[in-house]
Amino acid sequence: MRVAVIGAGVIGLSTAQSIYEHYHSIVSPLTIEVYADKFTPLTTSDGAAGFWQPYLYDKGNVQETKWNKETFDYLLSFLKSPESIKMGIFLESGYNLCSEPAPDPSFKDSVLGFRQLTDRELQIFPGYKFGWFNTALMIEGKTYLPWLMEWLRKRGVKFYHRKIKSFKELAETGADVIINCSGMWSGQLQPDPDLKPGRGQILKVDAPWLKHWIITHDFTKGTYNSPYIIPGSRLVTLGGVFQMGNWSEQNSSVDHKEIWEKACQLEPSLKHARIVDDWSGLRPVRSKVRLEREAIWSGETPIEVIHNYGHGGFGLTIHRGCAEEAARLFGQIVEQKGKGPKARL
Amino acid sequence: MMKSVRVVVVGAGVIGFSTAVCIVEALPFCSVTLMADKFSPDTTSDGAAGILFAAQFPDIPLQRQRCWFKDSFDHLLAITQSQCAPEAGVMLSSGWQIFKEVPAVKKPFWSEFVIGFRLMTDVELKRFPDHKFGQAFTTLKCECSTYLPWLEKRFRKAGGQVEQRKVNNLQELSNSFDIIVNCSGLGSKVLVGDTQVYPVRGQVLKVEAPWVQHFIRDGDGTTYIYPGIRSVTIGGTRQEGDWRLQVDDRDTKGILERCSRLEPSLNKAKILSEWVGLRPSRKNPRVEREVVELQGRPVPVVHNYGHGGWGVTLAWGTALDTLGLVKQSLCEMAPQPKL
Repeated sequence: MRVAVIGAGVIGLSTAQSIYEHYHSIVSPLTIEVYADKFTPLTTSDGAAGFWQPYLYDKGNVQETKWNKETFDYLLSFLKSPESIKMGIFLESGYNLCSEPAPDPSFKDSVLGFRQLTDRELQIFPGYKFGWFNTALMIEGKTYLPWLMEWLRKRGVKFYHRKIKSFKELAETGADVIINCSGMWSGQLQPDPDLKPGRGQILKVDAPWLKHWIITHDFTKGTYNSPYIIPGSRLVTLGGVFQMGNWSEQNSSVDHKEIWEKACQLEPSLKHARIVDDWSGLRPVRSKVRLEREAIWSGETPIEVIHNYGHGGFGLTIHRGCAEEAARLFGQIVEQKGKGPKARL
Repeated sequence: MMKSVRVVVVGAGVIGFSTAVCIVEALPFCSVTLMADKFSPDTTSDGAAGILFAAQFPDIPLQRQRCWFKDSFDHLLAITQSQCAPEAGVMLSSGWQIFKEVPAVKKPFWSEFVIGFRLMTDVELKRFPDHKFGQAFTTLKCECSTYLPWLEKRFRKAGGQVEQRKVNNLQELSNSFDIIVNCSGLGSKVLVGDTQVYPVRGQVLKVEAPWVQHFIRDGDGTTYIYPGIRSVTIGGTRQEGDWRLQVDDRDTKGILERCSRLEPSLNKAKILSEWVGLRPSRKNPRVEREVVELQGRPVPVVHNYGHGGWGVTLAWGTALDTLGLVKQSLCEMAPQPKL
């Protein structure tokens, strides 16, 4: 079988990985190809801070909470091996700050050592009256994606630097299954009015004395429209912009100023930190992740497509759970096409 | 007219400079000179990881020890909340202290002064299969190779004088100074003949592992991982009565093995440097005043030494305590005769 994955961000690469892991010994031959116009370090996944944390509340979307937890547990299991460094995974603790008491977040049972903030801790953050402390994971795209690509390359997965204009294009070359992991640009392959850009901008600064992430929440302004500070392995990411419907990938000096000033207010020690970089990206926002099969009719045989896009600002957070689910859907197709183990009897 | 009181502080480690700054900032009518043989980066304080933890000393009233810890912690915490933090070399650090056997005291006296102290959950302990019990909290790290120069700036700005000179005995100082403050650490063994002072040798490695964001300390105090601003300090050793200042390769090997067991990712870390320091140990730190007959005159001497491995942790608190003792000495000094 030939599988064509569109997109080489964390979703595309991890989906290719899950499909290989589950089916390379079942389907023979299994050819996996990844097509993308952008590869690491130029994907949306690369620009993200790389912090594992879902949105505070899943609004009943328990499926996504399950996938988030699955991803956390999966990444955590690598910590006992030095390999974790090559993957860009490490533990980091920090503070979620709210201006008023709020219900416990959806991820409280996924992370480590979750607890409410003490009064003393709140004194450190004037203006915030409530919050939580926990230990979570960092998973840095600029390290994780190359690791994934190497993992795939070693197992014979091929990469093609090409912008795919339609599913038909790939089907015509003989792909049996197409996995659509094209993130923000999925609308170009198939219109999706539910998919919208949630523009983000970040600064990267040199402030190695900071070892905790600090995420503030303003329920009047919505997710990620409030300052956050996320130390990485080399630089600290400062952010807090989430502009729905804004397609601009250019850095805005207005946003830069706002991010910088708010970050310094939150963490005065940043005042003398050196700003190293600016970056803007588009979160592929959707009311919920689109993770489903679709048979697209073009001629007599349907094109088997598995959609896996619309992960908003939590792609890294949810990637493994979704990849495993996508692999499960792939398994259904394998069964249907009679390419499974039963076919060999 | 009262002549300016001349105070000398002997020692330029974290105890010396903290004490000197406390005195010069609180007593503007004193002229304060800090005198030492070694300055940063060559003091014992410079090599210390500088993480704030305390031990409990047997003979000092608990309330006084609590003050020492709390005052030090609050002072450094205030620095982390200010713009000075990077220049002063102070940062917040969260992590875990883990024990192979459940300790007698689950909540030590300092647990209320650090931040967010709690016992570790079973899930958190799973990462440390050799350990049965643990404490999680947020404390502070104060890097003396940065902090000492920052304190020196502060000291000079307030009018303090700094002199590089090895002091061999207190007599040498009695001509030029009215009050002597002794912060000479291990040097007190010779300087004031304190036989109770002894070294506890500690070796550490500094490694490049910027992905390590938490401290991990074994409750036995011999194995620890302390991420700092630009490197991670891993250690250590506790060799009582050992005066060797050279690096011991067997200790290096032991440290790497024990620390990698706690944090496997350290296997990939590049070693940047190694260092040995002699903790200026004593059964209890000596923070007290006395009057010593020097060259026919009674001279107040205030001692602030013997902090062992807890120098950074107790520096500001014992400095404030010492300032109080200096003030008491000032009160007792005979006023200048008025004609």
